[in-house]
Formats: sequence, structure tokens, C-alpha cells
Amino acid sequence: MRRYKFRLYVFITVILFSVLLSKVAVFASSENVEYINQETGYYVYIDDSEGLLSESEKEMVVEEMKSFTEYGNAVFVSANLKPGQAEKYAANYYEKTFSGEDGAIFLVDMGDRLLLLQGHQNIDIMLTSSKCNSIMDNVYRYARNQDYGKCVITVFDQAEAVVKEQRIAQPFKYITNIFLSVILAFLIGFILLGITMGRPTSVKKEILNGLFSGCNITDRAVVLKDVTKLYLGVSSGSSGGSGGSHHSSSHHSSSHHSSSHRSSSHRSSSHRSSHHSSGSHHF
Amino acid sequence: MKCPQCGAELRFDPATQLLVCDYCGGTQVPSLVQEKVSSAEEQVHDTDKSTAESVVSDHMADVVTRDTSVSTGVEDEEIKESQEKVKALEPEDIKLVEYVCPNCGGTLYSVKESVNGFCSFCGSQVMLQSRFSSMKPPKGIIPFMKTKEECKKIYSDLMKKNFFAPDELKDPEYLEQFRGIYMPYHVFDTDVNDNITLKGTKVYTNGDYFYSENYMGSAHLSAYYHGLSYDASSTFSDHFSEAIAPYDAHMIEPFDPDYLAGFYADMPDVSADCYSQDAIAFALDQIELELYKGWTGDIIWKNVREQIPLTPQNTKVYTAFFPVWFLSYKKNDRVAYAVINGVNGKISCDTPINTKKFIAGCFLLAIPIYIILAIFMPALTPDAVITLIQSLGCVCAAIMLFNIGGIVKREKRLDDRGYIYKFGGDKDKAAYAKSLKKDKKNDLIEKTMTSKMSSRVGLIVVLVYFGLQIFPLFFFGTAILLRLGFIQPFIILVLSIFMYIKGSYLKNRKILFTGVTPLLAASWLSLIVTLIMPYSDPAFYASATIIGTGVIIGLISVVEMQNLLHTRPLPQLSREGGDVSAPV
Repeated sequence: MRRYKFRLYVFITVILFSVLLSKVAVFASSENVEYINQETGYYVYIDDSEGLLSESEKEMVVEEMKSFTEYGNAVFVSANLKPGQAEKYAANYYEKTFSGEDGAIFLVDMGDRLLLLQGHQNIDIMLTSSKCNSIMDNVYRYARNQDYGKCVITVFDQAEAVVKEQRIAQPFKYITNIFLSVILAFLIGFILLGITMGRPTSVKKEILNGLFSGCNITDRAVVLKDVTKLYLGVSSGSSGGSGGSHHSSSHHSSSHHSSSHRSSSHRSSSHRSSHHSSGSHHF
Repeated sequence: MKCPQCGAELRFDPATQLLVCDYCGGTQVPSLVQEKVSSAEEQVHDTDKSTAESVVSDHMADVVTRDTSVSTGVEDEEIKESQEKVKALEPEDIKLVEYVCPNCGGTLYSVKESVNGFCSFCGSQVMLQSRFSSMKPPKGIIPFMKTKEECKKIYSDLMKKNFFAPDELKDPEYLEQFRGIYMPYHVFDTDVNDNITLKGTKVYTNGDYFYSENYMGSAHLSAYYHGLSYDASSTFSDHFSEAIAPYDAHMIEPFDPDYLAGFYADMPDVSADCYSQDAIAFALDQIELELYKGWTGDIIWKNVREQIPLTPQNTKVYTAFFPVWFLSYKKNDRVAYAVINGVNGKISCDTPINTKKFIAGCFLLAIPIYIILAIFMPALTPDAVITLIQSLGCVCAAIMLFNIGGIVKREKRLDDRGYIYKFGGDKDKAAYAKSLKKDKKNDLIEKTMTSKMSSRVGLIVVLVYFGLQIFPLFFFGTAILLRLGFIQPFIILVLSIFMYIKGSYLKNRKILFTGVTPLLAASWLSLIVTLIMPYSDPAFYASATIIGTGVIIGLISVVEMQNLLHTRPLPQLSREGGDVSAPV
């Protein structure tokens, strides 16, 4: 018995080591890791395969992204994808590289001319899809002017502000809301109008009460004319009731977050179910 | 009718049910009541005068506090006797003053020799032309029970709730124009007393066998529905008469010209044939319901309605005057009416909208909505915003279609059966019959203000659209198109085509060009801008501004449409005068 227990311990230890080593090996061999926050263990990770950033820009970007690692991994990726692939690509990229860890990935898709920002794990509590959209609205003009360095810096600057519960400018949202609020106000106005201008109606009972009326049916007689009898072949008494199936299902919230605030001195190593928020903008 | 004390004109006072002299304050009992009193006096001829007077006052108390909620089928002897008198009455022609509006040709009759200078039909402030005329009065009458003061209060209370009504409608001076008019009604009595035979089946299983039994049922049917009324004047829209119905048949009294004192009357000009089928249908509905009840066993009776031996020969009809308080409001070339049942105070009215007040109200309402959106609404991508506004444009187009359908119906008077019967062409009659046939629930009550055809098309479009939005998995391909905002301009285009077709019936098509066209143009322009410059910032703002403005213009035009929907063209009630282009 003890022998079996010993073997089990060995097996678990080997598995744990291999997992940890494989993880370390990925990062150790990766040239994309630009910075590791020693306190939190989060990374600044840049995979600029499209070569959008010059060396000097990259240095500035890394410097700017460092502060975000207090809250999670800061990932910048450039790629050349087909239209419609960016969202999934970014999610998979982040999950493969930093599975279950807090962080944000900013993807510049040169194929579809799309900017995309995703918040992962606890980061998406603050960095919601709505906020991601607003940030993308705020920075896409830099990308269009090919000022990718400023674009990435601004993205993580604003993402950090959001995570720190600070406000960011959302001019696009506020301008479009003017139209929406006026249109909705008119629609509500018409509903109110319909309510206040309701037309009275008369129900038949009310009309009937105002009449002299009566209906007597007497001398009722019922005669059976004929009967048709059909053999069914199976007992109808046993039919129905049994059989069928039932199922239960659990509903998953799109962002089922842990309420506990993550300690800044520990990286999360536990495997959590993957969830993220995202926002995008063409440029 | 002159006051015996001072010679001034008397008027019938609904509050006391007496003829009152406003000059000397004298009162007079209406002659019919006097007849009743006389018979009462005969019955008590042995008693002294004071006893007889108390009978008079007792009788008046009965008249004033009459209970209107008489149970169906309850017919006490006094009412039964009164009804027999009504039906047996052969009234002689009476002399009245005929007042004709020089503008619209609307005609009213009165015992008064002078009237205030306004027309109740077109709302014009004019001196009505008068001449003496004789007319054959109806057999029955329900005297006014609601006073003018009560009626003004009912109207004021309603207007207080209506924030967007024009201020003129809330002016006490304007409310003085309420006019008490006795409207002519056809009163139908339907009787059936015959044997009836029904066929039915009963199906069940027993063991391994299925049984189907065919039955023949027979019974004696004795039913009567007396007092069902329909308005007999083409100038009084069925839209209103149905809304303020019903009048209690138990209150119909033999016609007495004294009840006309201080009031006006309209003459019947629509044949009773117009409504005879409705009266039969009403009786059939009731009898059919009763015939399903009371049988033993689980027999399912078939084609019950077809077996009921009821034909137009089973109905008798007579005419009666019913009291209506009537108010008109004229603005430019449109008129709005308010109508109140003179017995129970039930009100129905056209309420125009103060456009400026409504628009200002909507912009004020937009402020809290803006704040709510700023706090709770997530930021959307530019294409999502354009799509959303385009979608709201679809909703706006559907609302416009409802309204245009309603306006066409109102202007062609397709909601007025009597008018269509008298003046409508074959096409209008066919359209009316079609809509009546489709309205399975109730022939008497108009359920909707809008045209059924247009509302159905609009409703289907809106339901399909939201169905596609809610269940994208089932309509995946289309849902993607909707999300891209490409399909909304097509929906708006289709709805606009319906609007242009419907709107071709309108006398004034300005509303199509000020409302529908800008929305249609904006939706397509926005789409084109988005397609040409898909990711351009200025193009996005231009696109959003174009479609947003188009939708807002469309919504403002809906306010104008609502005004058209809640008013009517000036009537042309005779060959002379009136709005020559008004539908006749």
C-alpha cells in the first residue's frame, strides 16, 4: 500500500515539475518577453511580427507598458489575418501564452486593418468590452496615421486608467448617445400619446345590459343516429405518461468573476475558466 | 315652447328633468310627464290636491334618479308598457327651425328661434341660415341626463391628463360651445321563436376501440333582443357612436317635443338596412353562445350558427333620438370633434397635438434618457451605432406606415359605416366589407384606429425584424446582414413603398415628402457613405449624422401625422358650400 502511495506522490511531483518547466521553457526561450514585474510576476510581452514598431518606439512602448504589469500581463501582438479572425486569434493567443492569468492583449491586425483590445480574467471586470471599444475609438486615428508606437502607448495608458477606476474620454459614445436619446425620447413620447389618447370601447356585456333580452331553450332532445367503432390494435389505457426525457443546464455568465481582489505579490497559478472582454475598431 | 308666465323660451333641464325658463325662473313639467301625472291624478281623484302634487314630485324623483344598470332580460311592467307605447306611437309632423351652415352645409333642427353663431360640424364661427321646416319625429327619445356643466367637467378632466393637447381645448370659454344634439338612431328588435335541429358528434376510446357517435339534437328556441341601436345620421361618425355606446333601451320614452327645448336635433338619413345584418349578427352571437350550453354528455355540436332560424324578417326597427353633447374644434382646414353620451357621460374625442409642445417635451425627455445611456449603455463600435440607428429608422418607418394607414382610413371615412353606405363607392363598400369580415371579434366595436392592412404589414415587418435580432441562431445569415446594417435600408425602402402607395389616397401628400422621403434618403445615403469610406472617421460621423437626422425628421413628421390622424377634413354636408375637395 505504502509503495503505491509513494508511486502516486512521485507521479504527481513529476507532473507538476513538467508543467512548471514547460511553462518556464516557453517563456525562457521566448524573445517576446520584454519585462517581468518581480513583484507581481506579470509580463510585458510584445510579438510584433508585422514590424510596426521601430526599436526606439519599442523601448518607449515597453517602458509605458511596465506600469500595467501591476495588474496583469500587458501583451501587444501584430499580425496579418483574414477578416473576422481577429477576435478568436487574440483570445487563443493570450490563452495559449498566459492561460488563466489576468492581463490585456492589444492586437493590430494588418490584414483586416483592425485594432482589438481584450481584457482577460479579472482584468475584464474593469476593462469591459464597452471600455475596450471606447479605448479603440480613442486610438484608431494614431494607427491610421501609422503612429503605432503612440497607439500602443495610449492603449495601455488608458487601459491602466480604466483598471485603476479612473475615467477616460469617450467622446464617440457621448456624441452618438445624443441621437439615440432623442430618438428614444420620441418613441417614448408616442407611447405616452397612445396611452393618453386611448379610445373608449363598449364590451358586448355592457351592450347586452342595455337591451331587453332573453334566450330560452326548451324541449331539448338528443337522439343517437349511428356509431362508428374502430379497432386500434393497442391498448389505449397504457399509452402516455412514461418516456420522455429531461435535462438540466447551468447558465454561464459572460464574465463570472471572482470577487476577491488579487494580491499584487502573487501570480495566479490556478487554472480558472477562461473569460475575456473585448473591443475593436477598424482603422 | 314659451314660458306661460313671461313668454320667454323654455329649455329642458337635464338636472331636474323639467322645462325651465331662464328669464323668470319658472318651471314646467314636460307634456308627456304631465300626461303621466294626469293619469296619476285620475287614480287618486278622491284625494286632495296636495296628495296629487306629492305624486308629481315623487314621479320626478323617479325620473331623475333612474337606475341605468338594469339587468339583462329584466323588464318591469312600467318599462314594458312604456316600450309598447314607443313602438305603437305614430307621431305627427312637428314644426322646427332648420339651421344650415353656409360653410359646410351641416344642418341642425331646433325649437329655438335663435342660436349662437357657430357650426358644430365644421367649427366655423358663422351665422347659421335659418328657416322653418316640418319634420317627422322619431317614435322614441332618451332625454338628456347629463347637464352641460357635467359634460364640460368630463371634457376638462380628460384634457388635464392630455399634456400635449392645444391650450385652446382647455379654455373654459371654448367649452361653452358644447352643444346638446339629439342624434337619430335606428333601434332594432330581434325575435326568434322556432324549433332548432343540430348535428353533433362524440368521440372517445374504450379499451382497444375508438368510437365515433353521431347525434341529432332538437330544441325549441325562444329569444329576443330588443333595443340594439345604431346611429342613423351620416354626419355623425360611427367611430364616435360606437365609442360612446351603449344607450340603455330601458330608458327610451315615447317622443315628446318638449325634450327638444334648448337642444338641437339631427335627422336620420341612413337607411336601417345598413345595420340590419349587424343586429342579426349580434343576436346570432348571443344565441350561439347559449346553444352550446345545457346539453348533457360531451357532444360537440357542429355548425350551430348556421342552424339558427334568424333572418332579416325577424327584426323590426324604429327610430329614436338619443342625447349627445357635441363639440368641434377647427384649425386651418381640419376639424376635431368631442362627443359625450348625454346619459352616462362616456366620452370620445379627437385630440390634436400641439406640435411644438410635443417636440419640446421629447427633447426634455431626451435629457434624462441621455444621462441613463451615458451611465448604463456600453460604448459601441461605429458600425454597431450606425446599425442601431438604422434599426430605429425601421421602427420609425413602421410607425409612419401605421399612421398613414390610419389617416387614409379616417379621410376616406372607412371607419364610418353609415357614411360609406350612403355615399361610398363600390370600392369603398368592398373595402369596408372586407375589413368588417376580417374583424371576427366584434362587429360593433372598431378595435383599431389604423388601417388593418397597413398595420398588419407594418406589424409583420417589425415582428420579423425583432425575431431575427432575438433569435440570430435561427436566422444566422440574415442576422449577420442586419448587424452589418445593410438590410435596414431595404426594410425602410419596402415600408416607404407601402407608404407611398397608401399615401396616394391622401388629399394632401405633403407629409410623405416631409417625413418619408428624408428618412428613406438618409438611410440609403448613410449606407452609401459607410460603403464608400468604411473606416474613415469623418465618414462615420457623417453617416451617423445623416441617418440620425433622417430618423429624427421622420419622427417629427409622425407628430404631424398624429395631428392628421386625430383631426378630420372639413366636412361637406350638402351640395352648397363646404370644402369642395373633401371626400364625399
